[in-house]
Amino acid sequence: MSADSVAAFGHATGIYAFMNTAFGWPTVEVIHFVALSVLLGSVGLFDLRALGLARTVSMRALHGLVPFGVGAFVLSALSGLLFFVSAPDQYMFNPAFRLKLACMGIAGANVAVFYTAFPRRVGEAGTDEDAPLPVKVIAAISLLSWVGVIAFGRLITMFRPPYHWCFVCG
Amino acid sequence: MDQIAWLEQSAFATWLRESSWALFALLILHTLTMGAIVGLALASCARLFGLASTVSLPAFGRLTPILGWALLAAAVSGLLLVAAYPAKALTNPLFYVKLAMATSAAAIAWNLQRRVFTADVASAPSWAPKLAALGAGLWIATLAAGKFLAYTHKMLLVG
Repeated sequence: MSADSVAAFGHATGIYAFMNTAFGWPTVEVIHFVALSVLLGSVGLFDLRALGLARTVSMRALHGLVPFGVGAFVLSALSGLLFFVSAPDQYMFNPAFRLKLACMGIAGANVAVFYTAFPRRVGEAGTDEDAPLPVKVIAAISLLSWVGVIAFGRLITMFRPPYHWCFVCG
Repeated sequence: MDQIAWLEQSAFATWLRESSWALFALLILHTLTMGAIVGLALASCARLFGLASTVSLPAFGRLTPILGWALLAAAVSGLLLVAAYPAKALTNPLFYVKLAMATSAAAIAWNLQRRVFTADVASAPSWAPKLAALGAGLWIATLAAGKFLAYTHKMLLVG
C-alpha cells in the first residue's frame, strides 16, 4: 500500500473532495472525537471501576455500557479512515500516527485476552467487591492504551511535515 | 486590542508558544479532559434514560466526581491555551458561544449531581433525563465549537 494508491482511492471515491469542502474536515473531526469520548465514557468507566473506583457499582451492571464503546470504536475507526484516505502521506510517515496505531493494537489484543482468558470474571466483581488482580492489570493496560490513542492522535499535528520526522522511510 | 497584543507578546505567552512541549502538553490535557467530560455526560444521560438501571443513582454518583476534576483541568488548560494565542480566540465570536455553552453544560452537570445523583432518591425525577440530554447535547456542541475554532479564526497576531 503506497501513499499514492491510497490518495488515488480517496480521489476516485469522492472522499478527498468531501473532506476538502469548507466544513468536511472539521465535521469529521467532531464525529471522530465524540466517538472517542463515548469510548472513554463506557470502556474507560468500566476500566476505572475494575481498578477500584466506585466499588458500590457492580462491574456486571457497568458492562452494559461496553457495547456502546464497541460501536464508538467502529465509528472512530471509520471517521479516522476518512482523514487517512484524504491525506495519506501526512499519516503514513508520521511517528505520532504510528504510535497511535500501536496503542490501538495493544488495546485490541488486550480486549481479546480479556474476553478469551477471563470470560466469566467480568461479572465476578459485584457491588462492593474488588476485581481480581489479572482483570485490574488488563483494565490498567486498556485505560493507558486509550489515553495513548487520544494523546498520540493529538500529537499528529506536531510532526509536520511528516517526512522530516520519519526515521524509517529511507 | 492593546491588552490582547500585550498578553500575546508577554514572556509567558511567548514561552507557551515556543516551548517544545508546553503547548502540546496543554492540548493533550485539554483533549483528554474534554473527552472524559463528554463521555461522562453521555454515560449519565444513558443511565437516566434507563440503561444500566441496576446501578443505583447514588452508586452511579460515585463515578461522577471524575467530572469535577476533568472540568477543572479542562478549564485551566483552556485558559492557558487562550493565553498562548489570545487574539486567535478572543476575536472569534464562536469562542464566546463555546464559553456560554460550556458554562451552561457545567451548571446542568452540577444540578444533576446535586439534585439526582447525590440526593438519595430511589428513582430519577421525570425532568432529569431531559436535562441530562440537554447537558450532553451542549457538551457535544462545545466540543464541536472547539474544533471549528481552528477553522474560523480571523486574526492571528503571531504566526
